[in-house]
Amino acid sequence: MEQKSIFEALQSKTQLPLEWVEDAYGPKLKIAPQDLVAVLTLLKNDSALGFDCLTNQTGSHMDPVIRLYYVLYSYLHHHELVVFCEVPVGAPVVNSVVGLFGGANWLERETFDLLGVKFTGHPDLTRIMLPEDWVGHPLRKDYVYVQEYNGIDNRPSEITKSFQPS
Amino acid sequence: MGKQLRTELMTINMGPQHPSTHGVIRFIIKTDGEVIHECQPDVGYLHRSIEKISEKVNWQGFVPFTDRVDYLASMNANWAYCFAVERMLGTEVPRRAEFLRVMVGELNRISSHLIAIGATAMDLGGFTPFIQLLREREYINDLLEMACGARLTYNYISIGGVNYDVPRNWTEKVGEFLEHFELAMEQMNRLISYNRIFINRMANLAVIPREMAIQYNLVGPNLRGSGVKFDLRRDHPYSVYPELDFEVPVGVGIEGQVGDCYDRYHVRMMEIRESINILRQCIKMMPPGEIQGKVKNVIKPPEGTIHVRTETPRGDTGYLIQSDGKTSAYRLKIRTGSFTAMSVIPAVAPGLFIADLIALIGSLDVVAPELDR
Repeated sequence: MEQKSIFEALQSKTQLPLEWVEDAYGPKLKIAPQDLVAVLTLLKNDSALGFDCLTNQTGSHMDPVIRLYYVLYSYLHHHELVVFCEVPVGAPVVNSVVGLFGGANWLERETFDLLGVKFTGHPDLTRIMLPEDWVGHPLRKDYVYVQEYNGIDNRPSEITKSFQPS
Repeated sequence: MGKQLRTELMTINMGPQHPSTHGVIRFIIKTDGEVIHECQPDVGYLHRSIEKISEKVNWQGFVPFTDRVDYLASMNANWAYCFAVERMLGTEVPRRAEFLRVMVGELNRISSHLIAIGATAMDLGGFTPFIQLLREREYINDLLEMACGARLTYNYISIGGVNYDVPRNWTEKVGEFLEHFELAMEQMNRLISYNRIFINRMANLAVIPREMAIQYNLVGPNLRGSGVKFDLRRDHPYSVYPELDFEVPVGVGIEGQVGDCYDRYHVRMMEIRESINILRQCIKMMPPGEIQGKVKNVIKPPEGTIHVRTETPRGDTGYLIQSDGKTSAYRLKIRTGSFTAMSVIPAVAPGLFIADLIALIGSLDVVAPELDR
């Protein structure tokens, strides 16, 4: 299905506010964070849309919000849709979609680990890439590099400094 | 009246340094005797913050880092990233470069599958196939070394084309290798594929049904092993794949149920055959000409977000790239096949024997650096 007709089909089935955002690489669906589960449920269960797979999920820190991307794919109809919502950096909380897509479990854990977004209803929201006692979320733009971790000196050497990109 | 035996679950660690976990991965397993009750993979030992690095280096400068995402299939990893950036820029890639990409990509796919198959066999106790397959892989490494000078991390494919043209007679050398390799594959089939012990270990083991495979976002050979006929090279074709004639092998339950370990193994074996087919066609069709398209020295893709999937040996690699119109990515996320394959293990492992978990990991073809990035 074409991107445009996906949007129209979705709009005819729900009263929730949907926004169609166009950028240089095609349209994306913007929704409010509280509608996330409702919209994704609709996208998954509707037979004409049939988005049965959450193929990618991540976030991006764009002060003052964190934008969360959900890339859905339909193995039935072979079409893709990028859905995103924005949560404030101060209180980055959104509902988990693990109940809908099993693959979301680890993807959300990674987003939690690296960007500090809390997914309510997630069965095991723990750090996945970094150690449990790590402080901070490295993929945030204001992340300060740790100077020392459990006795390991992490300060950049003089040689490293000379290669720092401007 | 005898005394009541006290029984309880035992928690054991498999890894992080374990020869059969394919890299530095740790499994926390709760077992009742030999039977797994719960299996929790603990990953992240090889996390090198490649995604953060992408925000610091410029667009071309990130290509060598993609080598390190998946060191067993660097060509395909390069290609996945370069293809995504080319989509952002709208770059035309010359026809010869596309054919070279397909050739090195398919050669690398073969060598990656050889490791997957050999390592599976080795983990199950057959050491000979691994050594034999590694010998075949050396020939492929020689061919790729002729093309780019490196044997593991190639940095061959660049944004807009490929870095170097291949030497004269390279395509003939590939042809010679394929002649020899087909015989070697036949030998390999006799050694493992039709081996009753191997089949009995792999068939009907850790069945992942079609719905579960899609639910857990399995990709590539693991998805096809569960009977989903989906290949990005065919369903969302890119490069010159539309001109090439090849089959998409799927798991049909050849020795047991659809989606068991043997099916995943078998799909890889069939894919090697298809790659040989593709390579033969490329040798015939290889055109002369340019190898590098027109790309500016300083790349600044327009603002926006793109999601591009490319078929790589360990399933497809999904690049979600957000650009803010500057000289490096604003946010770049790599969703790899190993990551999703690993996340299915807690759901499939309960009820298996510990020894069968090894077969499951082997059949999913998990590679730790690609998993952790």
